[in-house]
Amino acid sequence: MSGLLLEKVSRSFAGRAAADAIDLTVEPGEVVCMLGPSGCGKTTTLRLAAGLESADSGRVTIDDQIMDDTTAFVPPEARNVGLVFQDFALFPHLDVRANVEFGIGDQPLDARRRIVDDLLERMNLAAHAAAFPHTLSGGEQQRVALARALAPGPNVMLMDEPFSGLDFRLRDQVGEETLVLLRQLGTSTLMVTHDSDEAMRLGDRVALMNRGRIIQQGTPADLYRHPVDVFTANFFSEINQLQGAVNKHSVPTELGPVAAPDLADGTPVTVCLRPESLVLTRGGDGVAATILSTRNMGPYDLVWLKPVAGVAKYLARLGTGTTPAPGAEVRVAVAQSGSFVFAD
Amino acid sequence: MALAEALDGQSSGPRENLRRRGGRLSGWTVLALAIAAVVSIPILVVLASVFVPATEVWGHLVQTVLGRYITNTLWILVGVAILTLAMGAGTAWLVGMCAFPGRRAFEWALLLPLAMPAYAIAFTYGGMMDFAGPVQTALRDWFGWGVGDYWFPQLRSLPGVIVLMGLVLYPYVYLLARTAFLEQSVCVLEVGRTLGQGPWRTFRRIALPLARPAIAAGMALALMEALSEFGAVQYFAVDTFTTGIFRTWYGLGDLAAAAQLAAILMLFIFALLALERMSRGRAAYHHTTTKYRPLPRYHLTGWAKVGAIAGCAVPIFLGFLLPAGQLAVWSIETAPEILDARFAHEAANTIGISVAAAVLAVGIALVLAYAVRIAPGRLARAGARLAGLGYAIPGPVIAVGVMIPFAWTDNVVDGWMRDTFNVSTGLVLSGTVFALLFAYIVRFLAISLNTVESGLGKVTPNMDRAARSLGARPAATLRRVHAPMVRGSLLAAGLLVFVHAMKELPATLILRPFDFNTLAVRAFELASDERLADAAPAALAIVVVGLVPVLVLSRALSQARPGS
Repeated sequence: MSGLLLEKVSRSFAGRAAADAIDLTVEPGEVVCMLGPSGCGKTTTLRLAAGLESADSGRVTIDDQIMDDTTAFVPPEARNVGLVFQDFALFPHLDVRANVEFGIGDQPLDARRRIVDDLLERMNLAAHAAAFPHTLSGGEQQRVALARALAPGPNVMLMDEPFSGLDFRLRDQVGEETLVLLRQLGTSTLMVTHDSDEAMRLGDRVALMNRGRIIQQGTPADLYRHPVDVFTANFFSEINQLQGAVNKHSVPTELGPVAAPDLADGTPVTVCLRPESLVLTRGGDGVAATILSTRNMGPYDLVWLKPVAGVAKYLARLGTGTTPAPGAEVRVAVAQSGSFVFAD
Repeated sequence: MALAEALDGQSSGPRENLRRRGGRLSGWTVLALAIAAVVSIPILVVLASVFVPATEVWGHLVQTVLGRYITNTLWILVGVAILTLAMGAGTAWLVGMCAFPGRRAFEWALLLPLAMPAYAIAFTYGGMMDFAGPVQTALRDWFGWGVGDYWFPQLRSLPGVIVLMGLVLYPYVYLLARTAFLEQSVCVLEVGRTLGQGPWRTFRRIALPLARPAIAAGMALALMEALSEFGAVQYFAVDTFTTGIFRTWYGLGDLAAAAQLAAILMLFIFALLALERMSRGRAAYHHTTTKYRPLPRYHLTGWAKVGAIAGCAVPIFLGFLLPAGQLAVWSIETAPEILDARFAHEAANTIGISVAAAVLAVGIALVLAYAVRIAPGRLARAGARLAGLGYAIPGPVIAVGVMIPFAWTDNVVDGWMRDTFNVSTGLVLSGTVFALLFAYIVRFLAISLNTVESGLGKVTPNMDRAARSLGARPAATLRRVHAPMVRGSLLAAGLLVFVHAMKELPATLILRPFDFNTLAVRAFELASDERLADAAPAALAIVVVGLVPVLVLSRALSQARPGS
C-alpha cells in the first residue's frame, strides 16, 4: 500500500524499549495522531519513520518502498518525508522564500519559483516572502515551517507537536487549516501530540502510546467510548476510579452496581466512571448523596459529591443551569455508557 | 548545574544516529579528551611541582622575598577590587539607570580602556609623571618651583601600580554590571515601586543586591588579570609573583623554584575562580521573567548632572584618552626612525604568530565544541571545561609549565640520540616558535571556545534534522546551515584570540626563540631602557588593533538592549 507503514518496529536505548513492536499504518490523505504522556516513545516512533533513528527490528515502509528493515536503511535525506517541529527550526540566516526553497534546490529555477509562489500563496505568506523568520509571528513561522516541509512534495508528513508552540486560540485554527490542506494533497500525516483534545479534534485516527507500546488505536470516538484499559479511559477525561470484585456479572459500588457481563465472579476489578456517566436526580433512582461543591466551566458544570452512606468523593458533569446548590441532597445513578470495568 | 544537565540530557532525548548508523560516537569524545589532556599539561606540571623537593633557591626565596610577594599581591587585590568596583559599578549604574548629557557616548566609550595594555599605560604614565616629564616640568614652570621644593606622588610604587591597573581593568566590572542593571528593570519596577520604595531605596535595596553576582563576576575577572599582570609591575619594580617567577627562572635559572612560586600564585587564582563560579551560579537564578520593559531613567539635574558627567569622563580620560594621546605624540616624534625594516619584521612576527594562534585556537575550539554537541556526555563536557581553564592561569605560570615538559623532552631525545648515534639534537621543542604557539593556545583557548560554543548553540538540533529531511546530507547541512550561521562567531573568536596573542607579554618573553621579537616585547624592552618615546609606536600599534574588538563589543552592547 502507499502511505506509511510500520511493522513490529522496535528500538531501545540503554536496554529500555523506547518503541516496542509498533504496528501502525497511515493511509494517503489520512491524519493519524500519536498520543501519549511524555517519554512514552511517540517521538521516537516519529523519528524512526523519519530515519532520524534506525530500528533494532521490524520494518518501515513508505510508498511500498522499504526504508528500514535492519538490513537496509534509507537515510532521512532520501526518504522524501516532510518534518515539522515544535520549535519550527526555521533557518535564521535565510528569508522565508529561501527557507521554503531549501529542499528543492536541485530543481530548475522556474519550477522552484512556481512551487514556492504557490505554497506561499496557499499559506497566506506571499507578503512575507522576503522577511526573515525572527520578524514573523508564531503562527506565520508555523506556516513557513509547513510550507518548507511541503515544498519537495512529500507523500508522508511527520509533525512533532507542531502546534504546541502556538497560542492556544491560534492552535485550533492553524491546526484545522493545516490538516485540511494535507488531506487535500493526499499526504499521509503522522502527528505527535500529548494533548488528547488536540488528537481528538484533528486526528482521523488516534494511536495511544504508553511505555513504548501502542495501547490502542482507532477513531477518537472508539478510544473514548471503548477504552481497553484504565490508562486509556483516564487519558481522555477525568474519571472516578473505584476498586471492587465481580459478583454475578456486576460490581457493587458505593454508587450502586455497575454491569460487568464478561467477567467471572470474584475477579478483582477497577471500575472507571466518566463524570458524565453519573446521573443526578432529585428523588429518582440511585443512592442518596450530598453535593459538596460545584464549579461552572462555561458550557457545563463540574460537581463534587459524596454518597450519604459512603466515604469517597465523586466528580460529576452536568449541563450548565441544572446543577443543585452545595449542600443539596440528590440521588446518583450510574449510566451504562461512560462506565467501564477492567480486571486488575 | 547537575540538575540542568540531567534535564538537558533528558529533553534532547536518546542520542540519534544522524551521522553514523548505530555507531558509537565516542571518537569525538576521545578527541576532546586528548586535546584537553595536552592543553592541561602546563597546569598539571605547575601543580605537581609542589611535590618536588625544595631547592636551595627556594629556601632563599622564602627567607627573602616570598613575604613581600604575598603582601604586595594582597594589596594589589584589595586596591584593584575597590577601584574597579567604584569605577565599574558606579559608571554602569550612571549610564544604565540615569539620564544626563553624553550618556549614550559614555556607554561605549567607557569600554575604551580595555584596549590599553597595563604595561603600556604604566610606562606612558611613568614617562609623563617623571621628574623630567611634561607634568612636573609644567608645574615647575608655572609656579617657579625648584628641585626638591615640592611634593609629588611617586608613581613608581605599589599605589601607583594599583591605580593604573584599576584604570584599565574597571571595564570588566562595568560590562557585567551594566547588563545586570538593564536586565533587572522589570523586577525593580514591579517589586520596588509597588512596595512604595523611592528611587534611592530601590537602588540600594533591590538593584544593587540583584546586580551583586554580576559585579562579583566582573571583579573576579579583573582581579585575575591583575594577578597575571607582568609588564606594569616589572616596569614599576613592584615585586609580585609574576615578576618573581620571571626572575627566578631568568636570573637564578631555577625552573623548579619558579614552578613552586607559580603554584602559590595558582592558589590565589583558584580562590578567584571559585568566587566567580559561585557568583555565576547565583546569577543563573536571577532571570525570573522574560518580559522586559525599560525602566524610566532618573533625570539628573544641577550638580548631580555635572557629577555624573565627570564620573564617567574621568576614567575614560585617564584610562584611555590621555595615555593614548601621549603615545600618539611620542609616536609622531619617533616614528621616522623607529618605523624601519626591523619594526616591519617584528610586526610581521607579531601578526604571523597571532594569526597562527587564532587559527589553531578556533580550529581546536571547533573540534571541542562539536564533540560536546555530537556526543554529549559528562566526559566531553569535562574535557572542554579542562581545556578552557588556561585563561585563568597567568602567562608566566603557563610559560614555566610549558618550559619544564618541553625541556625534559628535549633532554631525553638529545641524550638518547647521543647515546645511540653520537649526535646531539640540542633543543627541538623548547626555544622554538612551537613552544610559544602552544603557550598561546593553552592560555587563549577558552576565549575561542566560549565564542564558538555560543555560535554553534544558535544552530538547534532540529535545524540539523530539518535540513536532513529536506534532502541535505551531513556535508551539505554543514555547508548550507552550519557554516553560514557560525561564520560570524568563528571570525569573532579568531579576532579575540588574535588581539590577546598580540598583546601577550610575559609568556612571550620567557618562551620566545632567540632573536624572535614581537611588538609587545619590543615596546616593553625599549620602555625598560627608558626609551619611552621609541617604545611608543609599537605600543600604539597594539592599542589600535586592540580597539577593534572593543568597538565591536560596544556596538553589540548598544544594540543588545533587552526589550527593545
